[in-house]
Amino acid sequence: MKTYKINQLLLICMCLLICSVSFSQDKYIDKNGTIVFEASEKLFEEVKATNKSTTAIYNIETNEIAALALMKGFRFKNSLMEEHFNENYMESDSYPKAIFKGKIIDFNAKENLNEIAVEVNVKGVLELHGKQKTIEAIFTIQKINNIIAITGSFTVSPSDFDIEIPKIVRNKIAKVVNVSLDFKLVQK
Amino acid sequence: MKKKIIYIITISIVLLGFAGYAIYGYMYKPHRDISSEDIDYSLSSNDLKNVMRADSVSSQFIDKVIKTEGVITSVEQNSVVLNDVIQVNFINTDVSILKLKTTLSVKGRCVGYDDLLELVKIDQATITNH
Repeated sequence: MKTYKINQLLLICMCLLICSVSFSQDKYIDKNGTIVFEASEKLFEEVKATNKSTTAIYNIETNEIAALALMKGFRFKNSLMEEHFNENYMESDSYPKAIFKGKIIDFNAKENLNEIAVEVNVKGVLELHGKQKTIEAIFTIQKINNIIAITGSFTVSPSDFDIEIPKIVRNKIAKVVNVSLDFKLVQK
Repeated sequence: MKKKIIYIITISIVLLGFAGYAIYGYMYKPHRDISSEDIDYSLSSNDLKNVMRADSVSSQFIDKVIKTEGVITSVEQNSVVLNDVIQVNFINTDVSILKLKTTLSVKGRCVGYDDLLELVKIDQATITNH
């Protein structure tokens, strides 16, 4: 009888926990965020791709940010470049996604998140091509009506992620890759 | 003799032209046109989610032309969600005409599995049931 009660209590506790997690009002989500990366060198064809279906989640309570971009979702102007990007450089079949998990540092969303755009420091780990790298960047955040807009950019280099650029194309691809992002998150 | 030289020059110019055309065609070949490609796999939205969730089989479906259907559970600016498990982005369809709770059948390219939201993403889709 006693164990039965404890079990029941546990069950209720679990239910409450699950409910509070799934119905939390702190999460803002964007399923169609934009990430653009550019590694163009002057005088050569532009090396630029856009992913318009990046997922981004921001928790205003904990300030945690997570973003996920599927490699095959990056579209280039030149289809051969897209093919090479997936097959030779990113090896998208083995590493299909890039994931960023981080946090906005020293920011109080309740007090400072409004129509006025503010710059915030973000620190986190970017994982792609099976390698991880700590990223520190300054993003701009603002909230207009019920949409939180996060924009910003940072740089990475292919060697950080063990991506080897063959000699023939080495001077056509920049050593430093500029990544910019534009998320419009709505409450879920 | 002179005729021969002119002949050789003409032939080589024509050959060079063909080679150049072929290289250009290879370097700047057009993007895939998903809507005109044949369907590789046709399966329900829940089945598609289940196969994409398993890393071992998902690679078999990524980048393939998939036909799937489900009930629209959310309509956003440029995408719809089917049965809460498939996110579909269209090539150039006005999603505002699509209504919640209606059944939609789409054909598109499987981009991959998003484990943050537990969604399968499909892009370059076209509607096949209207």
